[in-house]
Amino acid sequence: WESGWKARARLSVSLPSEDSVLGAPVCTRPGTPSSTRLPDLYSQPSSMALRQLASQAASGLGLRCTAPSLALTQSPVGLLQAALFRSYSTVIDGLKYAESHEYAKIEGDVATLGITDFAQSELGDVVYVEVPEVGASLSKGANLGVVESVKAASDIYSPLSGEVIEVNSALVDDPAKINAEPFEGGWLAKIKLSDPSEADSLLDANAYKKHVESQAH
Amino acid sequence: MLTSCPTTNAQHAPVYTIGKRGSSRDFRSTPDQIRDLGAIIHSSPRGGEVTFHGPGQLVAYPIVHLRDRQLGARAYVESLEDALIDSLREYGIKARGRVPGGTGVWVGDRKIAAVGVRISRGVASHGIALNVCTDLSWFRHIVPCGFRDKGVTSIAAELGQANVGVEEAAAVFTEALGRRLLYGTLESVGEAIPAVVGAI
Repeated sequence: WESGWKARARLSVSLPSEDSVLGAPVCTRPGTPSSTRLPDLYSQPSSMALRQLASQAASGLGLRCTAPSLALTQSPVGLLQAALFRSYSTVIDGLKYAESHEYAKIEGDVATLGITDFAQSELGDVVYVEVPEVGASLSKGANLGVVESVKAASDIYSPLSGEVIEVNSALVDDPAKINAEPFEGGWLAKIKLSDPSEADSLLDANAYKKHVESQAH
Repeated sequence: MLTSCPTTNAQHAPVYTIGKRGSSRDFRSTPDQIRDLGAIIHSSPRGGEVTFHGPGQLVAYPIVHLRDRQLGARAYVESLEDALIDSLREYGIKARGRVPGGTGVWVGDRKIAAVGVRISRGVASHGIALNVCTDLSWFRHIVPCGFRDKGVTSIAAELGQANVGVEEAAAVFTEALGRRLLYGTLESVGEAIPAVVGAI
């Protein structure tokens, strides 16, 4: 996995051509299904067709792309697989994001908080998590906890203000959930928002995607 | 334009530090026995478990603004490991890092340098501890970094000579880290990944 990560980084350094299918480093999982009609591969120049195919398929399938090495063939399917697996971080539409790579899943006046797929892949295998106490009062930007990987212990900040109503105690026994499901089972805490309008100053999925893309690694 | 980052090189009086994942199970001796030896025990907000710092060991504390340099946590820790490996090469010692689950720098299966980093508001602190001519018997009282079955070593132990200076090692490491961080965001495309690169 690590060598695959390096492979992707090297690839983007050595092949920056705009026409290549290496365009978008982030694949999305949209909230509403987009058209999955495949373009006619054989009537277009192959690189353009592949780019369309890759982006449509990526949004339709909602893949989190992690495969390190592929036995590639020259077939469209083989090259499509290569294009998909070149994306390396999932960003989910409908969530709000902080530049420091925390997310908030807001439902009414309750927000579920965690760190993004990009953040967990940056940290590496998570071995230990500290979450706040239930009942704690957090202000936006305050310390939400610590996520420690085999490499580093990293402070996490709350993207919104509120009272902690639930924490994910499953992380005590299985901190690796943060790596496996950062947006699902790897959530850190749920808070009751004290000022829901704060969400307006967070990034939406597109803005966060651009932010991640600008972190050139 | 990357600016320089501050780093402090230190030697400590004997101290055992407990990181966020450390506990009393990581000690082979009792706190009283440790105090009798002349060491203190201290909790530290860095990652990792229990380790020892003392005379003969270079402890370096680079403060690096990761966000400014667009460095991720993992890339930064790898830079620290690489800088240590570069430094050890100057002494003719072949070492390795990138050991899954075994952050730090190893000579064979003996640990020669520990790495423990904390990241707060995009800034990395704490750092590394390199055994230059440390009295390795201090490590007998703990399970170093949680590794029950592995040994520890030092530059002096590997070279079989006692007169290796910490100050000299500090200069070598500082220079090596400066080189690694300056070029940290440029990756040399050395090893090819034939299948993927070849297809495009």
